[in-house]
Parts: sequence; structure tokens; C-alpha cells
Amino acid sequence: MQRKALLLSLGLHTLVISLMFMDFHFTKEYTKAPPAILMVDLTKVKIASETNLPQKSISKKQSPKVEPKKEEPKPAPKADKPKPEVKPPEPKPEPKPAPAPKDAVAVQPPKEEKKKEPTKPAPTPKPKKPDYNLKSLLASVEKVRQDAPAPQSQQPTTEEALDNGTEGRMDKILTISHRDFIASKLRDCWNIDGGAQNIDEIVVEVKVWVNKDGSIRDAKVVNHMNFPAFRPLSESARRAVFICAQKGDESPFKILSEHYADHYNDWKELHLNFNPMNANVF
Amino acid sequence: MKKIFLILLTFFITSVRAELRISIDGAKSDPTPIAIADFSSQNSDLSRLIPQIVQADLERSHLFRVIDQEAHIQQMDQLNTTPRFADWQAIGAHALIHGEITEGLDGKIHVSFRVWDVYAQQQLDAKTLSTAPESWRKIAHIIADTIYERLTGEKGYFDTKIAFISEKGNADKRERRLAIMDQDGANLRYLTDGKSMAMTPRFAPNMKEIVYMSYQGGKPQLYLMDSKTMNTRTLGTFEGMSFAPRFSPDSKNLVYSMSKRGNSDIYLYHLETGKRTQLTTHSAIDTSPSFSPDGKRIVFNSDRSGRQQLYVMNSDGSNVQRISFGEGSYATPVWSPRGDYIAFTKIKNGTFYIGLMRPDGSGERLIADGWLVEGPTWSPNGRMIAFWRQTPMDKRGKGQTAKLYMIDITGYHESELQTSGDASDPEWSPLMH
Repeated sequence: MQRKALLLSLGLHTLVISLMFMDFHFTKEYTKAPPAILMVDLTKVKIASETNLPQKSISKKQSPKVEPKKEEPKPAPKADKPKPEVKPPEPKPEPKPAPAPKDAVAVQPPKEEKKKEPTKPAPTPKPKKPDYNLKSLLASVEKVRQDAPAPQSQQPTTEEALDNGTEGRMDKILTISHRDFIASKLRDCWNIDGGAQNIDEIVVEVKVWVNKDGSIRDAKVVNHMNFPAFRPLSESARRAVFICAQKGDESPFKILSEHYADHYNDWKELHLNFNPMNANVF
Repeated sequence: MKKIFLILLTFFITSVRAELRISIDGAKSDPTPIAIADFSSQNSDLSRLIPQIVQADLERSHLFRVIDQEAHIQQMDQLNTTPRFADWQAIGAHALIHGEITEGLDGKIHVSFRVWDVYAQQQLDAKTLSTAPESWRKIAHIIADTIYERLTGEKGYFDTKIAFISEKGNADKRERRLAIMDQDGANLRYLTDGKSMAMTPRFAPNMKEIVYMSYQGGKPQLYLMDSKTMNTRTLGTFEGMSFAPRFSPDSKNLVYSMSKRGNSDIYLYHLETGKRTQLTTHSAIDTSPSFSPDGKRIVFNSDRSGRQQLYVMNSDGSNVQRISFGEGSYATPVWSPRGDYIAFTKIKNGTFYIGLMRPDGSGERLIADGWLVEGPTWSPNGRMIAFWRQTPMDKRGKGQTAKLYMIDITGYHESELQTSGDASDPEWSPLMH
């Protein structure tokens, strides 16, 4: 009998507690207007199957070529190409195995004999302009020389970011445009070491607790992978959340507080998946 | 009753909201902005010089951008000063390094430093290092290595040496001396006197010896130099010419090429027993062998297909497989210490390139070029490559100069490694600590 009463009590308590967490949508009348509908002229917009587009600056860049192109014009070095009579030696594996070396000079590469003015200063090679765009990470030198370096990715304005997502499919809570906007902002706040080992296998999952005003209460990395680069990458992902949150009106979390205030319960906890190389880098 | 309870429990679980999930695909890869404060010390020179070396090392990696000290809002007077994180966030620093130098009664200097994550507002690392005052540069390099490792997850490469061939004089009487210096160009020393030409120095992974080729006695042979005593011994007088040596990862064997009667093959030489094993027996020229970091495979180049191409075989000479199939000729392959790439020299359409490919031959990329670029060598963490480039002084290709360069594996960051004169054949040492 006592056991029965205990179970009944437990069940009723569970019911009461669960009711506290429930949100009875059907009992509410929304007084606030829903998020403004974006008017998009579909004749001017190319519709993709997914609107989770990378930033415009990134999407312009092509993936690096595996094998360099044939015969491309090389700027400066071309002029310095050796004339036929001073053809550079074939790539000598190491010193060439001359059949019977008589003396040191005999096995010297042919280029040695042509040096007459060694004191003249060498022209320093033009440093390649750094391009930190991950899409072009690990590009071939021939490709680099050919392409003009892409401009540094700029912080997209809200309009630009919204332009990226034009498919118009509405999620239950967040429009896909706003989802793209948040992702693109966080992508810009996330600075990583692009040459880290196993970077293409790493995903960092960060749980973020957001205040009603869009500020961050806390952020925590909730997964672990057994790669040396995981720790710095996960720290930088968590840092990206805080860096983005400090960007005032440009904060990606601001959009949640401004457009979805009535749905605070739906976004007070975010689960962010940071994929450093998931943007078709290779 | 149990059923009611289970129903209620299920109802409760399903009523808990799923959190909003968002995927962030891609990131930017700018150098990470960090702040390095002066290290507090009674020795004003060291308090300034050590952070300068740390800064130069980190910036040369192109992974970090050190914020100008003029921008610092907070002065970190003491090691125990707690950073005002908002001040460091305001200048855009992601990490902060500050430290303290004290002089002990034993005459040594003790350098303590802390690394802070400015946004997480927590200490990432703290260490105290002690050394003789004259080794302050080494301490600075070790600090840079510590910061690099903590912030990237990979070992650094700053406390390392580079051996190379210092070249002087006219082409007809060129002096080639074996030299060694720190990876930043400091502490240059000459290891040979220049009476006989030295080439292709290679460090033993345990750093006890250096092997190189020299023309002492008029015949090119391999020599071993003890790195402490500087005593040199020949590897033995073989009937042919031996060249292109490299140590095995355990430092117990040497793999090299030997040319006999016009044909060159690859041999393994056990340093303790003197036992010599022939690994290739092909009539083509096989040369430039380099071990994989696990010691199980060897990459080399051979012209057995008609042109010089790269091949990989087991360390006993079995299972030879061609891995390069691109246009042009390939030479001087070197396996990355990380194991993920093979660096090589390539010549195509009259231009020389330094390139990278995966050990299976995939993903070939050419990262540096020039009139003559050669001799790639890996930093011990497999992130940087040093090589040398010869540049003609005039359009007819006369009067070349030879310089050392460094480039990272992304191919975007190349810089010259300053040497007093011409330099070639660089060889990067393992970490020294």
C-alpha cells in the first residue's frame, strides 16, 4: 500500500515538474509580429539545393590543383631563364655519380664553372602574398602564381550574409538565412592553424549558454578527439564564441535576441559543430 | 501503476526541448594575435632580448602575430600579476605571455613564464627554465617551442640547428665548408676547414654524429663527424663512389648510394658492425634514399622507367613501387618526420621546383620554384621545409648566388634564411632539448 502511494506521489510530482517545462503553444496568442519575410526576386537569384553557403570570398576560390598546369607564364623568374648555353643541370639527385672522378671539380655541377661574379647581390625573390583562405590551403605554387590572391575575407554585413541564404526554406524556429548568418559570423571569428595535422578529421562540438540579450553566459567543449591538434582547435572554437559575442550589433547571437525573443527557450542552449575543413577544402 | 509511471517519464523526456544545433563549416587561418610582455628582471638587457627572440621565432612560423608592445594597456610588472583580461581582449590578443628572470646564487639565470588564454581567462601553461647566462638564446628558443606546442598542439622547431655548406670564392676555386648555425642564423660555426670540399651534411637523429660527403684524398667518400669531439672518421674505403647518405630513424644504420662501374645502387650500412647490405640491384641509377619515420620504408629516386621518378620500397629492399607519375623528373625525396608527406625536387620545362606529395604519390603540390632550387630538408615537426635556391646574376645565367630559404607546407610563407655568404645543402636538426 505504501509502495503504491509512493509511486503515485512520484508520478504526480513528475507530471507537475514536466508541466513546468512545457510550452503550450496553442494557448498563446502571438502579439509580436513574426520575423520579417525577405522579398527575393527569384529571377535574379540562383537557387541552390542547400543554402548553407560558405562566405562569398571563400566560394570564389577554387580548390587547389593537384597537378600544376602546363606551361604558365611565370612573372620574374621567366626572364632569368638560363639561355641554352647555360642550361641548368638536370636535378641531380645528389652529387652525380661520375664514373671516374679525377678530382673535386670533376664532379661539380656544370653551373659551378659559369660563376664569375659571385659578389653581386642576388635579387631577393618576391615573397608570395599570404592567403589565409582555407579553401586555397595547400595550393600549388604554379596555381598561386596564376591566381591573383583573394582579398581577405571581410566581415559580412547582415544584408550580405542574408543574401547568401535565399532558398527560403523555413526551419521550425530559425530561418535558414539566419542560420547561415550565425554560421558565417562564427566562421569569421574562428581562427585556426590550417596546417595542423589531421585537421580534416577534427570536429569540435561546443555547447553555448546564451542570455536573453544575446550575451554569452558560458561555453563548453563537449566532445573529445584523440589528436594533438584537437585541444588548440577546441580552445580556439570556444574562443570564437566569446570573440563573436563581443562584436556588438555584429554579434551572431544578437540576431537571436532581436528576432526570436519569444522563443528564448529554444535558443538559450546552442550546440555548435565546428568543422574546420568541412567546406570542400580538398 | 508502473505503466502510468513509464508514460509520465516518457512524456517528461519528450517535453525537454532539443537544443538548437548549428554547423560552422570552415574557418579562417590568419596568424593568431598574441601579446608578449617584457620579462621583468634586474638585467634589463635580458628582459628585452629574451622576449624579442621568442617573438621572432613565433612570427617566423607565420602562425602567430605578436601585437606591438606600444598597444599594451596593462603593464605586467611581475610574474604573479594577474592579467586584466578585458584589457588584453581590447587589443585583440588571444593569448598573453609574460615572465620573470632572476639570477640564482649558482650563477644561473632562472626564467619563469606564464601563457594565458585571454578569452577563456585561464592559464594555459607555466614553466621555469634554468641555464647559464650565456645560453639565454637557447632558453628563449625553448620558451618559443613551449608556447608553439601549447597553442598548436604540435612540437616546436625553434631550438634546432641547421647544418649547411658555406660557399666562398670564384667558381674555379670554390671553397665549400661544412657549417652549422641555429635555425635563426645565430651562433654560426664552421666544422671543416675548407681544404677539401664538403657536401650533403646529414644529422643522426640522436644528434651524436653528422655524416657528409667529402673529397678528402681526391675521391668522394662518406665521413662521420662526432658532434661533441668533432673527430672525423671515414666510413670505409669502398671500391666505388659513395654519396647521398642518410641515417635511419634509430641512428644505427646509414642508407646511401654507391656507384660502381657506372651503375649506382642503394646500400644499407650498419654503423656498429660495418655490415653492408645492397638494397637495390637494378641496372638503372638508384639514389637519394630516405627512410620513413617508422624506419619500415625507404623512398628513393631511380631512372629505371626512363626518367628520374620516385619509388618506395621496404627497408629490406623488397616491394619496390613507383609513386610519382607526373611530367618532368623527380629527385632528392625526403620523408617528412610527421610521415604525411614526401618532399622532393622536380624539374619540368626547364624550371626547378620544390614539391610535396603523399607517400602513396597522391596530392602532388609544387610549393617553391626557381632557376635552381634543391635539397629540401624538414623541420623536426614536419611543418617547415628549408631548401637552397641558386639565382643567376644576369640573364645569360652567369654568376649565380646560392641562398637558403624556408617555406611552410602550405606553400604560402617563404622567407630567406640569412647567412653571411653563399650557402647550399641545408640540413635541419632534430629538436635539441
